[in-house]
Amino acid sequence: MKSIHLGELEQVVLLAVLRRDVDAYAVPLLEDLEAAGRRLTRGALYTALERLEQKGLLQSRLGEPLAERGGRARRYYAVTVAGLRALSASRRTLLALWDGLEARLERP
Amino acid sequence: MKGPSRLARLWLSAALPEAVRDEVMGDLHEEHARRAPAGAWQAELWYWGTGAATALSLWGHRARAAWARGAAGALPAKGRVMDQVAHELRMALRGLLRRPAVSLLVVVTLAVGLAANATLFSAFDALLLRPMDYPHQDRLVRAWQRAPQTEHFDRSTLSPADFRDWQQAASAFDALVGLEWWDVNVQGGGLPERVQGFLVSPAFFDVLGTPPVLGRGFRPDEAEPAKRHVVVIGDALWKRSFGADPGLVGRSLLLDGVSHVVIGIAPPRFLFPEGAELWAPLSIAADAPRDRHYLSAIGRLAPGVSLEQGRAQLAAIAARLAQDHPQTNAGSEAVVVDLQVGYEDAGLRGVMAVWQAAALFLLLIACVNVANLTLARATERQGELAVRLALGAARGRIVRQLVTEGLVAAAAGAIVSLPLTLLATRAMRESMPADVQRFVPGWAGIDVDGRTFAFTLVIGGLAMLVFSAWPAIRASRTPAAETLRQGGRGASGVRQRGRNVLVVAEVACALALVVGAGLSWQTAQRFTQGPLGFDPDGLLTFAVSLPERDYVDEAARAAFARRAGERLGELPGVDAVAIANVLPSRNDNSGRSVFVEGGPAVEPSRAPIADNRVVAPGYFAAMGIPVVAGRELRASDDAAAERVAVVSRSFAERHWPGQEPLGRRFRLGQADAPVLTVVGVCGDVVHQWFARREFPTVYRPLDQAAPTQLTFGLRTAGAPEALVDGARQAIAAIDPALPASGVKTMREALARSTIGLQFGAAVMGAIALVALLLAVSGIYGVMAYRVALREGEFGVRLALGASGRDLLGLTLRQAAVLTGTGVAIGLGLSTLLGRAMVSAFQGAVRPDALAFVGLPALLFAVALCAAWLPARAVLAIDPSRLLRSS
Repeated sequence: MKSIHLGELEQVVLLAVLRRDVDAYAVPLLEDLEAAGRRLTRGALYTALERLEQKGLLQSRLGEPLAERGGRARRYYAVTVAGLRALSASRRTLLALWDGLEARLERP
Repeated sequence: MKGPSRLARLWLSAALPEAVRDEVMGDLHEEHARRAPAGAWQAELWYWGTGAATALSLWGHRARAAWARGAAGALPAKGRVMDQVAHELRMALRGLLRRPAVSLLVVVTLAVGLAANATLFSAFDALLLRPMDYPHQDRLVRAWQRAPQTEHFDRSTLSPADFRDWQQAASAFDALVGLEWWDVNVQGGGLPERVQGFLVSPAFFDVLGTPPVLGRGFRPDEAEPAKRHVVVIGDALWKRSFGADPGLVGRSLLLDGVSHVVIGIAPPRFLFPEGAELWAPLSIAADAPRDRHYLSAIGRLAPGVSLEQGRAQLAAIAARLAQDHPQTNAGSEAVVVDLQVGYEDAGLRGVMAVWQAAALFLLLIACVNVANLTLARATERQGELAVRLALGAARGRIVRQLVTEGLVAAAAGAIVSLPLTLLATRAMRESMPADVQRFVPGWAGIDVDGRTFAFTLVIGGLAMLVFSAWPAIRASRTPAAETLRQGGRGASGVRQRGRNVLVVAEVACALALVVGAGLSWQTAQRFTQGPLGFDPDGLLTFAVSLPERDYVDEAARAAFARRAGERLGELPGVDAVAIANVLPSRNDNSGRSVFVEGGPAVEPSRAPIADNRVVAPGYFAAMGIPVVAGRELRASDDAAAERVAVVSRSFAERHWPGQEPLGRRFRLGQADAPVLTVVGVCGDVVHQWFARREFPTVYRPLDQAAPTQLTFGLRTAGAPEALVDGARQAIAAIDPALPASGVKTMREALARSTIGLQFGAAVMGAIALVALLLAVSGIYGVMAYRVALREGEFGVRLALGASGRDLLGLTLRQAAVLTGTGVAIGLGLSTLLGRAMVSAFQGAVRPDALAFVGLPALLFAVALCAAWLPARAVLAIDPSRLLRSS
């Protein structure tokens, strides 16, 4: 299988979904990303989620319609096996490149 | 939990791409619910803002993706229709995004134009098309008499005896309902309060089909004098004074000191007629008069009876009454109109028409900007289009592409215009004080709804279709060969002429609007700032009504006025006290027939009318009305003294032209009323701007004709507002049951009475300002484009020895010719608009030099500035670089 290179945005969104586990829908994801210091616009998040799903790195399912959402359902996301594989590939690449460079960060 | 407003959701669901619509809307809804407890208004704003940003960003991403895809392959291979449309839209979006600044300008321009139209449409809709919404609306009518007895009104109220005869004989109607104006002091809630109500025939609530929400309406037998002390209370009054207590039904209230049982609460926003908040049964005595006219009449036609048939029947009844009672009814006719028309403000239709016309001009300007853009784009792509045409592309396809761009821009403009419309309608609704709003049926109903939405879409779509199709078709007609010969760059003369026409049109429309706004503003100014015949500054005014039960005769009322005058005069800061039945700027109904001694004999029904003022001593000095001949009214003009009067200059001139008025005698009201002797002549005052300017007026001593309604004016050197508490206390100290009502400064009262005009001026001003901005941006755009287009030509000229200054002059001269032509045409339009306004504002608008010279000059200067800014670019042209590049 052709390896997929993840962009930074794709990577952080996948990670946020992975961390959330059960209730990974857009609202808490946005909050988590912001809490982690990665601000992005709502539109960018939706676009990223949509694209990741098209690429097969995420899958989604609809929950029950909720009154608090005006009768609309939540779309929950989960990382697919392909997604996990892509994340781990990215991680490997990054760690390999970082190896031995940590000290350089001390004295910028 | 209440979610975001329906409109916001409607709008957002239209704005979002379908694939993510449910998800995004659900998420936003959820977060809105979290924010709402901290502030509903902020949450709503957040929803609009975030929704718009998200939609934009989602579409942006999509467009970029589409662009990327589109760049790779051209047409979808075997286009199904939907694919074709999608492709077309994608291309259009790409075209628009290629020049984001210009596209944004077009979208915003269009949005503003559409929002102005939609706002005025919703006002038009609420005030004129649907101010009333009763069941069987199409069968409801209002009826008048057209009576020669009254000099000034061709629609006269009815006498109770006539009304009873109408009611008994009118079989074409389910019911006729009589209405009598009824102002009362209400006690039983908080402070005593003056409330405006109506005495109505018992069928009132049935005829309108709006039964009280609590309790019941009137029973037929409650018109009998013994049973008539029941009352239905308006919703606003119930909430305001009785804390919305449902237990109020069944309790008693004192109305003008008479106990009435509350039997019902009217539905919210039911204020019919004329802002009424109280209704009690109208009872017509057997010996009710035929010569006093004070009843309004409404009715509901029986099912299947046409307005014409109803009209014919009442006409026959009126004719019979005219025969039976020639003394009072000779020449009387019946006037029957649709209820809504009957209660429409006389001036409203004209004013609204002017506004809507102004808004259409504005849209026209916006559309001209759009057409300009399409032309510019077409010119820019002329080379490309020519090549494609030469290679055999279908002309229709090219036109379609340009038109689709226009439609996409229109859709974006329409979407952006909705929140603008929402804000504008809200601002319009809330800018009118509540106590004025009550009198404008339908005002509270000004809102954005499906009709507004549809209106916006239709006019926006139409405008764009016309204004982008026309230039697109023109563009595609240019012979391809010629363009190619010109190197794909030259702008043909035809094209330029098209753009010139647009600039001229834009300037002309903007000028008409600016002049219209100027006229409105001047009119409003003249009304509030112009001479009034009295001194309106430093004057606090209020009214007190004396219930006839407690103040049985004139002596008691005069005694009250005297005591009130003394007490109020002692308040610190009060320099003088004016007491009258009606102060200037207050509503009144005090016209009286005049019978001059030794004058020509007139039938009582055709006697001239004068306003009847009853004033306390010192009135003229306190109000600042000059007494120009004879003397003031004095305290010695009491009940025992000779009956005297001071008359206004206009009264004297009307009845004794060129003669000495002092010592003349006349009677007021009836031909056999007591004789009044003129002892003084005073200046005229403007009582009301529309109907009562310099109207003949009689001033009589209060002690000789004490009225039940007293209005007070407290003259002070300081701020009149500071006297409010003292005045209320002084009145309460004399009689705790009496409220001081309508407490406001004379300036406030004047502003209030001309609020429609000021409002009109503000609306026109806002429209004109936007028009000016749009026109200026249009001129700027055209000039900038033109300079860019002729860069090569300018370069050659510079190389041949022309100076930058020459070229700047050349450019500006062209701009001046265009603007000048626009101004000339605009002056023509302005004259038409001015004429329309003169008739809409009933002669209150007076076109003058400032409007027709000053404003055009101003517009001309602004337009030249707009042309000069981009034209300066010619100075920066470097001929050597240009020549090298070609």
